[in-house]
Amino acid sequence: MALHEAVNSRWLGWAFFKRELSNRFSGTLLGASWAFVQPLALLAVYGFVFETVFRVKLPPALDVPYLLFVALGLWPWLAFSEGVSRGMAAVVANAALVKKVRFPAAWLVLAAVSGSFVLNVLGYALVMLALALLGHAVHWQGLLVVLAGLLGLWLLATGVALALAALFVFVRDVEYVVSHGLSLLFYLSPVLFSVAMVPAMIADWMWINPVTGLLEGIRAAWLSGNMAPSAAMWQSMGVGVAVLLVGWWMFKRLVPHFEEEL
Amino acid sequence: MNQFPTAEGPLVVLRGVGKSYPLRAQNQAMGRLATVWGHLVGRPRVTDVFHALQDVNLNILRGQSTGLVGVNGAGKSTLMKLVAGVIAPDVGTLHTSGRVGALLELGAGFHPEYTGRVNVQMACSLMGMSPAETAERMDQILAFADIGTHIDQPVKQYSSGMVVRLGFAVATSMRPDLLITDEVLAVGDESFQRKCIQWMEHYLATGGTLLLCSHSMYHIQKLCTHAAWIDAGQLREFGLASDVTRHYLTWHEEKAGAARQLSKPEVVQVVDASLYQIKTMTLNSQTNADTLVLASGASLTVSGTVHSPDGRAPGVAVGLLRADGTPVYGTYSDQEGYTPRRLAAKEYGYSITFPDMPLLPGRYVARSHALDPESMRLFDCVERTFEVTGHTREEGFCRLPHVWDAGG
Repeated sequence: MALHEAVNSRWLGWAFFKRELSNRFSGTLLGASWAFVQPLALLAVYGFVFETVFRVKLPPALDVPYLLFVALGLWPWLAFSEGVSRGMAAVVANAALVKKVRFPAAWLVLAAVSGSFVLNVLGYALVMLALALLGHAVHWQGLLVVLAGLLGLWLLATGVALALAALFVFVRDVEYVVSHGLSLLFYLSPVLFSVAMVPAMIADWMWINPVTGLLEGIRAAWLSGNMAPSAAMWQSMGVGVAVLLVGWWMFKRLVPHFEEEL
Repeated sequence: MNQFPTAEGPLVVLRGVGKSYPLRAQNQAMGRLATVWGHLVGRPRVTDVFHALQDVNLNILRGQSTGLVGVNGAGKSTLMKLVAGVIAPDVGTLHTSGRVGALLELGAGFHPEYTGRVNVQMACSLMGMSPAETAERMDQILAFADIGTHIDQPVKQYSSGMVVRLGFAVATSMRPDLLITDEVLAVGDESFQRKCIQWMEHYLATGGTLLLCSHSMYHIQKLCTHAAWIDAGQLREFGLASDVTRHYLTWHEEKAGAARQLSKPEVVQVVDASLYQIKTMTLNSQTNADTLVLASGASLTVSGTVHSPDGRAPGVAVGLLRADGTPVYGTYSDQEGYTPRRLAAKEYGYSITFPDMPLLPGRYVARSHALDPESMRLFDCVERTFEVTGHTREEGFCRLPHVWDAGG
C-alpha cells in the first residue's frame, strides 16, 4: 500500500475499522462490555494468584498496591497481544474478499490492530478513572508519556501483525507459533512484575524486548508523573518504527502472491 | 452493438501478459518458507508451475465490448482477474485507463452476519466511495435491488437470488468505464433478469464497455462487438464477436464429431472393382483440396463420378451434415427419379445443386454415397468439408422461411 493508495482508499480503512469494532460484539449478549469485563476478570485472578497465594512483595520503592501495579500494565499488554493476534488473522479471515476484489489488503491488518487498541485503551481509561475516584495516587501529568508508550506499542503491534499476516497466508503454522509465543512473551514482559525485581543479570536481557521499555515507561509515568519519556522508552519506540517498516516491506513484497496462496 | 469513436486510446492494453500458479505437490512447511523467502528477496523459487495465461496481447477500446469464450480452465477467469487488478501479471505489461468495475461472483464479499444495508455500505467502500457518496447512491441501489424490508435483515437470511440482486445493484451504481463480469446475466427471477439486460443495454448504448465472460454465445453476440477466444492459456483468436463465436462453436462441433467417429460404421476404403463406389467428388467444381468457403445464401453444387462394376446406372445419395455429425438433409437419386449420366463403360457422373442455400454460418460436411441400381445397398461414403460465412445472430443451422407480423 503506497501512500497515495492509502489516501485514496482511506474510507475503506475506516469502514474496515468500524466493522472490526462491531465484529467484536455483534451477536454477543453483553456487547461492548466484554472489552472491560474480561480484563477485569483477568486482573482479579492475577490478584488472587500472586497477591493472595504467592504473596508477591513489590520493592519498597514501588509504594503501591499490587493490583494497581498490575492494572497499569495489563491493559496496554492486552492491546498489544490482541492487536498482534487479530491483525495476524485478518487477511486469511477475509480470503474471499482478497481473492475477488481489488483493494489495499493492508487496511484489514491496520483495522484489526487499531480496533484492539481502541477497545483496550477505552477500558484502560475507565479503569484509571475508577482508580482515581477511589483515591489512588496516579499522576495525570504523565498522560502524555503514557500515550507515547501506547503509540509505541501500536507501532510495534502493527509492524509485527503486518509481517505475520502476510506469512500466515503462506504458512498456517504461524497461528500456533504466535498464540504460544504471545503467552510466553506475557511472562517475559514486565506485566506481573517490575524489571527492578529481576536479578540484574537477567534484567539486562529483558530490555532486548521492546515491550519491556514501553510497559515500564507507561507505568513509571503513572506512578511518578514524569513528563518526558525515558531513554529506554525512546529506544523501544525506535524499535517499534523499525519493526513497522520491516513489517510493511514484507507485506508489500508478499501481497501480490496472496491470491495464489489463499 | 454500438460502435463508438475510439480516438481516446484503449481502455485495456495487454502486452505479452503471462500468469502462472505454483503447483503444490507437497505442503511442507519448509518448502512454504522457502517460497516466502524467494518472494521477499525477489528471486522466486523455481517450482513446477501451471501456466494459466501465456503471452496474451489484447487491446480493448472504449465502446468495444469484448466477450471471452473458451472451455472451463482455459484461463478466462485469470484474464478477468488480471484486468480487474485483483492479481498482477508475472510477465508482460498490463495497462488500464478509466474506472474499472469488476463483478466477479456477485455478493462474494458480503458478510452473512450483517444486514444488506451494512453490506452495501462496505461494498461501496471497497469500490472507493466515501460515506457521503455511498449515502447518495443508497436509494438508487435499494430501488434497483428491490428487496423491500429485507435490506435491514442479515444477509444470511437472504435467498441466493436476493444476494445476487443486491450485488448487481451495488455494481451497477458506480457506472464504470469498463465493467468486467462473468455469468451474471442470468441472475434472479424473470423480471429481474429483464432489468439487468435493460440496464446493460442502456449502459452499452451510453458508451459503456463490457468485458463479459459467458458460455452463452447468444449473450456474447448480443452484448459484445468483439470476442476473444482463450484456449489453454493463450489467446487463440480475437475479432468480431460473430466470427469468433462461430469458430469457437465449430471447434466444439468438430471435437464432438471426432469422438463420435469411432462408433460410425467403417467407411469402405478398399478400392474393389466389383463394388459400386464414388470415384471423385467436388463442391462447386472446386479442383483444389482447400475447404470451400461459401456465403450464406449462395448455391452449392455437389458433383462427381461413380464407378459401376457391371455398367448399370448406380444410385447416388447426397447428404449435408453439420461438422459435429448432426444430419441436416439427405436425399436419394431414385427417390426423385434421377439417373446419373453415363460417361464411360463403367463410369457415371452425378450433380446436385442446392440453390440459395439457407444454411447458417458454420462448418458443414457434404457426403456422397454410391448405391446399387436398386438403391438397396449403400456401399461407401465420401466427405468434403465446407464453410458457410456470414454475420447473423440467428440460432440453429438452417434458416426457415418466416414472416413476422403484428400479432396479437
